Parts: sequence; structure tokens; C-alpha cells
Amino acid sequence: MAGSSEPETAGYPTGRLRSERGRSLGIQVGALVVFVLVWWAGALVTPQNLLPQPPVVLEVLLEDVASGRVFELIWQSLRHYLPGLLIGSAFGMAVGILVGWSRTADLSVGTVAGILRPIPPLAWIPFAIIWFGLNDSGAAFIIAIVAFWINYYNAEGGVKNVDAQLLEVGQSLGTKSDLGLIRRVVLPSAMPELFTGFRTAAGQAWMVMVAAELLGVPGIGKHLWDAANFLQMQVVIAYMLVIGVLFLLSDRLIKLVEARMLSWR
Amino acid sequence: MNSKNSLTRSDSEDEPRTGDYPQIRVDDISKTYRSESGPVAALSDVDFDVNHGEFVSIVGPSGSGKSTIFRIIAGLEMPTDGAVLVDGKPVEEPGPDRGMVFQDDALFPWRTVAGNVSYGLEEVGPPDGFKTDERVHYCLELVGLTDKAQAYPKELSGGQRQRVGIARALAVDPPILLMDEPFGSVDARTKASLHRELLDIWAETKKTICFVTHDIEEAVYLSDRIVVFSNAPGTVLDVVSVQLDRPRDRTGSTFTDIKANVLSYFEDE
Repeated sequence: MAGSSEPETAGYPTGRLRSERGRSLGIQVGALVVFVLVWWAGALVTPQNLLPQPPVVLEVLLEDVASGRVFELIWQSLRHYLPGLLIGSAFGMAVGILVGWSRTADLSVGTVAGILRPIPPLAWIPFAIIWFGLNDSGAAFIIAIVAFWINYYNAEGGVKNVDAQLLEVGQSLGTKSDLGLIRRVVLPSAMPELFTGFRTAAGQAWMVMVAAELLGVPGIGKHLWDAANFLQMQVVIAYMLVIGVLFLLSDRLIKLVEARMLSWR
Repeated sequence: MNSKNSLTRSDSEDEPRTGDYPQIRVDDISKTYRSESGPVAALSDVDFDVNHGEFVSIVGPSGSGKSTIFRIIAGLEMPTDGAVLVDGKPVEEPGPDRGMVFQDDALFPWRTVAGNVSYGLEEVGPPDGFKTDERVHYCLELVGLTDKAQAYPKELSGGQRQRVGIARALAVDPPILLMDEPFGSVDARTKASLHRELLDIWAETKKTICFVTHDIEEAVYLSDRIVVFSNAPGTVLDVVSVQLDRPRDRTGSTFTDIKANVLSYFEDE
């Protein structure tokens, strides 16, 4: 490494780059260890029913993994998480692109959106119940609303930020219609923002999912609430951790697809 | 670029080679923008022609409206008064008969070099006698970038990006190439080689080129004629003919005389 003026690029992490990565990993693992130790220390001086100790939580996790219960609960949650996220995101992107592209849509739809936006998603729960009932559809509806807004604003911003000169180049090279310009210039150009919106929504959706399941829709969140009612805090913490892991996994997965598709950046 | 070719081109000034119309006729154009402090005149009675196969530069100080005239010829803006006629037909919108090259390359970053060049071909199809990939290859050969076909714009230097921009504009074989300060942000050495390459491409493809710049030496080196614009509101102060064989010697006495002549229009400003 010494004396080399070329910066290390992707491929083989060597020398300083490798030690840099090792250092980062060390800090991350260290932080997690400290976190668990602080939790443990706190739990030692707290009654077990208020804050369970890490080994007790671990025991719940291992037991539920062995019995397959964790996976059953994840599957139950995915049944409203995925449809809610996908449908809400699709609508959000579509409306966001329209509002970002057309001034008329911005003035009309955009104005209405400005009024509806501040309504907390959970305030829609009464409608979820009377329109869909206490089932997957009702929970998916709440999740879809959250996904809609996040995707809507990212898509709108992405479309409004498209370089005007690229649109002019597209026109000069023969793309005439609005639809053609949206498909061939606006969408690829706004793709990074669309991805950011979807990834943020996928994360937020896990959080709102827990709240939506409070209605009584089976899944991780419902299980967590039931356990809380019986003061089984070790179960509550175990499934909090499960949600954390699911969040990380979905985030990583989307980032991976993003890096693949947006390698031109 | 041999001298025979350049003679043919300067001969063509008086006699357009095809049709009765000049390639581009800028007919008494005025452009006024509305602003909060009242109307602002950007162009006032601008009138000039560009003949078939001719290389014409538009020079002027910044704010002289030379980019505005570029945008009006391109069809990106409409004049307040007057019209631009291409082969006798009024310009109303941008179109593949006028290839555009911008100062900040304006490449599609999500497309490879070859993908950028093929964009227009995907819209209007390749010119007669070509398949799309042949045409892409031919255009990349013109600008000397065949080995970068699969690279993304972010991997290219400024000069390479401008070359891709030129190849992309040429791909659909437009009779006209409109260039808005295309070499304004590349270093001096790259600029000089881009000048030579552009003249070679011009000789090979026989395009009509309308070239906007604030660099007077560049205009004298490249052009058959130079349209000199005044400060805002832009008017045509003079049209200077550059009757020098190519390749031109930037230090020759006629060259420097013409340069000084054009420069003299701006000295008292």
C-alpha cells in the first residue's frame, strides 16, 4: 500500500481497506455486546416480570424456533405485510409520479394530498374495521396507507428533480408523448428516489404492522400484545428482536436489488 | 479536412446546394421574457441564415441571448416575434432533424455509452442502409469511442462524455447539428483535439452545424461564418466570413486579424 497513489477500488479489499473493515465490524460487534451487558445488568436489579434477563429471552427464541412457531407467526404477519406494502407502494408511486409530472395533477391531487397527509395512519383503523373487518385485509389497509404516503412523496420528488435537459434531449431524439418521456426518461432517472421510498416504506410497514395487529389480526404483533397481557415480558422482547431482524433483512434485501439495478450511479 | 473540401463549402455560401431555402433561416426573431420588474428583451430582430453544409458560430458575451437563439432554433422555446425556418418549414418543437449537443453533456446516466447513442435509433429507427447496432458502432467509431461502448457515463472523462453526446446526436443522421458551448467545460488540450475531431466529423458527415460559443478563437478556428451578437437584448452586430483553408493555424496573421476584428465588437462593453 505504501507509496501507491491509486485509491483502492472495489474487488479485493487489501491492506488499509481490509483493516478499515475489520475495525468497523469490531465496533459494531462491540456495541452489541455492550448493549446486551447493560440490559443484563439492568435486569439483575429489576424484578424479572418487568425486565427479563437475556438468557430467558434467548430460551423463548430457541424454543419457538425449534417448534416452528416463529416461522408460523412470521408467515401470518407476511400475509398482510406484503400485500399492504406492495399495493400501497404501487399506488403511492403511481400517484406521486403523476403529481410530479403534471402541474394540473399537482394543483388538484397534490392539494387534496396535502390535507390527507397529516392524518396519522392509525386514525384510519375505524375505517379498516368497518370496510374490511378484523382480518388480513384490514391490517393490510393500514400498512398500505403508510406505504402509500412514503412512496408518494419520494416519487413526486424524484420526478420533479429530473434534469430538464435530459427531457429536452429525449424530445430532440424523437420521444414525443408524455407517456414516452415518463417511461424512457423520467422513470429511469427517478429510480433511485423510487427505491429509497420503497425501502423506507418497507421498514415503516414493520412498525405499523405491530400496531395494526392490535386489532386482533394474527401475527407477530398480536402475539406480542397477547404475551404482554399475561406479563410474559420475555416473549415480548423475543418478538421485538424478531421484528428487528425482519427489518434488517428486508432492508438489506432491497439494498442489494438496488445496488444491482442502479449500478450506473 | 483538406482545402478542396473547405473551398466547396465556402462556395456554397452563395448558392445553397439543395432546394431554394437555406438550411436554417432565422427570420427577424425577437424574444421577450416576462419578469416581476416588467418585460425583459432577450433578443431583438435577430436575422441570419445558415446554408446547407455550413459551419456557423454564434458568439457573444454572456447574457447576449445566444443560448436563447439556440433554444429557439432547437424548438425548445418559441420566439415572441418572427420565426425559425428549417428548409422553409417553421420550427415548432424539438425534433430528430436537429441534433443537440449541450455544454454539460446531458447524457442519460443510466444508459451505457452504446445505450445513449442508440436512444434516438430506438425512437425513429436507424437511417437507411443501417441496422441499429451497426449505426451505433459507426457513430462511436466517428468519435473514437468504440472501446467504451459498454461503459457508463460516470466512468468517462469530460472530453469523452462530450464525444458521446456528439455521437448520440449524429446517430439519427440529422441534417443539422446544434451545439451550445459544447467544449465550454473541458481543459484546453482536450478542447484542441475535440476541435480537430469535430472538423473531421463535419467533413465526413457533411452536416450543417450551428455552434454557440463565447470563445472567439474557437469560433474563428472552426467556422465558415461567425454571427456576432451584442449584449442584451441580443442583436446581430455583424456576420464575419472566415475564408481560411483548414486546418487553420491559430497563430497565422489572417487568423489573428479576424480574431481581433470579432473581439473589437466587445472591447468597449
